[in-house]
Amino acid sequence: MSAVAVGVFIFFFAFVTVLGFVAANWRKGDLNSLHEWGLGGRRFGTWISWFLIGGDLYTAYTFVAVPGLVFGAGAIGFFALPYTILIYPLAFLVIPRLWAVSRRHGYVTAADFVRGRHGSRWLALAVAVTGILATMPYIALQLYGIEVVVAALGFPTKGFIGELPLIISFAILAAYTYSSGLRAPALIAVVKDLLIYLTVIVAVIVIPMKLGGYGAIFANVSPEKLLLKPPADGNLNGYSVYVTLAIGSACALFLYPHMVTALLSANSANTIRRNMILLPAYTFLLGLIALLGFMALAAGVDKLPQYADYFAQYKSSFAVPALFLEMFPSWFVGIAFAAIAIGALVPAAIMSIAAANLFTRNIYKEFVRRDCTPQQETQMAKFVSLVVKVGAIVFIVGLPQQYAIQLQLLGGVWIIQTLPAVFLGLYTRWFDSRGLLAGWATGMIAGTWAVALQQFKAPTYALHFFGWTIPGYVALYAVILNIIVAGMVTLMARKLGWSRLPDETSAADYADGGAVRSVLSH
Amino acid sequence: MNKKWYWLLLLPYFAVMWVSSYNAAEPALLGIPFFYWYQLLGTPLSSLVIYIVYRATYNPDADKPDAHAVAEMGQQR
Repeated sequence: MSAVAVGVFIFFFAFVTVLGFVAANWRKGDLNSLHEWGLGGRRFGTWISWFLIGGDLYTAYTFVAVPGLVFGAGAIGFFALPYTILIYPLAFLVIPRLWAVSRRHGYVTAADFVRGRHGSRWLALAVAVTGILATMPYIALQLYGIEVVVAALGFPTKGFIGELPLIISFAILAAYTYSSGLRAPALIAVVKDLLIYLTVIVAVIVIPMKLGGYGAIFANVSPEKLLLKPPADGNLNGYSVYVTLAIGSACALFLYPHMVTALLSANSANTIRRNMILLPAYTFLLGLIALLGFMALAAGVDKLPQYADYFAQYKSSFAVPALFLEMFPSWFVGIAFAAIAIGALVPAAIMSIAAANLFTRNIYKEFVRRDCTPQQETQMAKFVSLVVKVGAIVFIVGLPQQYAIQLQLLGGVWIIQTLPAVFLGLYTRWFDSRGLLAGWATGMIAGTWAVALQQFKAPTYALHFFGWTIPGYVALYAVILNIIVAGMVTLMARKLGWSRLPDETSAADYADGGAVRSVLSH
Repeated sequence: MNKKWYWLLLLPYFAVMWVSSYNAAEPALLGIPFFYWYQLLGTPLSSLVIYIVYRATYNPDADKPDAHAVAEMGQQR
């Protein structure tokens, strides 16, 4: 354990803690209102949104898992790059509509929108529950990211003393999230993202220099890991897995509650559009981070005796921490690990706020206490965000880490099932809400079953179609099935003459500007 | 505003789906195999495509928060 590394680490951690509490006074607003606590007053401009959304998207788990996947599985792990390229054209098109209608109707969550648009509180409940279920393991995995770097710093990992750093960091996080709401992670995201960019840029220049250049690094990668496995004998192999992982993950990302929260906190539709142009900088960063996995392979860190125990416990997730320990001086190790650990706090805060928003608006207020005041609403949300964090700690401490990873895998398959209700709902009311509910249920069940077939180890399924074998991402297949079922039930509903539920939105609500027009059309 | 510009947003999707065009090690750049540097390059290129669509479809109304909605927010739900 290096005192310098630990010292630098604790310095940055303390710094962002102060920021977290100070954030309550930044762009002051009434933090007893859910819009202020849960959405920062919808006032974040282009650059703060860039830091917030970027800090939200690229989590501690991302930095540990993506290179870990490349380290273990090679080229297929690189899917994170096309995935995070493809989110932006889609979001550029779709999200401004969600932003506009949410602004005009005071929606705080995607489930709020679904209730207003499709008129069904049950469909909204399905969307809310899915969101909460998908978010919980993701929060737990951020803790996992902190655990890995804390272990790498030399702290004991077993027993209660091993869990202490996690508990302390999350307790502090809970405190300033409670008082400042979304403003806290927004401010901290600036520090986090600057540290991450610094760490990665230095890493991709310095480490190859030490390893003899990129040519030497890639020479160490075995041929079957270097590239994707091409199609053969009617089996699309790596090609279909790669493409479906990229497209499926891209379609699902902005459905996650924490992404919806970050996006709805923007101050204008064009702020969102501009961010879709600027955020790809993080994608480039992610590509470089992925290459760190190959550098770890070339450096042979998994073969070094001093890391043997860590690799046994954390497997390929330890690749990047080990690489940094080997290649960087202690003070920079402190900075790099602080970047990763803080990289866990920002999304964990936003995720817990988002889950709290969902529970409060779409379960508590909708089904339990319809007449609660804005203050009561916000108090409930604050309380729930605490509960959610405690739940995450209990989960990571009490259960094998494999469970969190498997649940997160499932979470990706689940959250995409809200795509028809949310994304398609932004464009059309053609689908009947009961059809959407049936489609959602089908997608959830089929998707979960398909992942179970792989013993929850990999979210892929080999589709057999007219003689072709197409292994692909379960989430994408499940949502296609979802849409087909929704369509069929909708057609049946039309034939049987079922009544349509009300839509409280109007076409103009989804368009940019034109405030006066939308008032007149109501 | 010509909505046809939005079709450009499909370009990155087609590029990703055409795997055989980039699943190769050569030509390498600075020792990095084609598969990796091509996709890294795809990032700013994709960004550029979105920028072109943004400028072509730019609506200044979308720069301001909806003034009416801001005032009404206090009364909503």
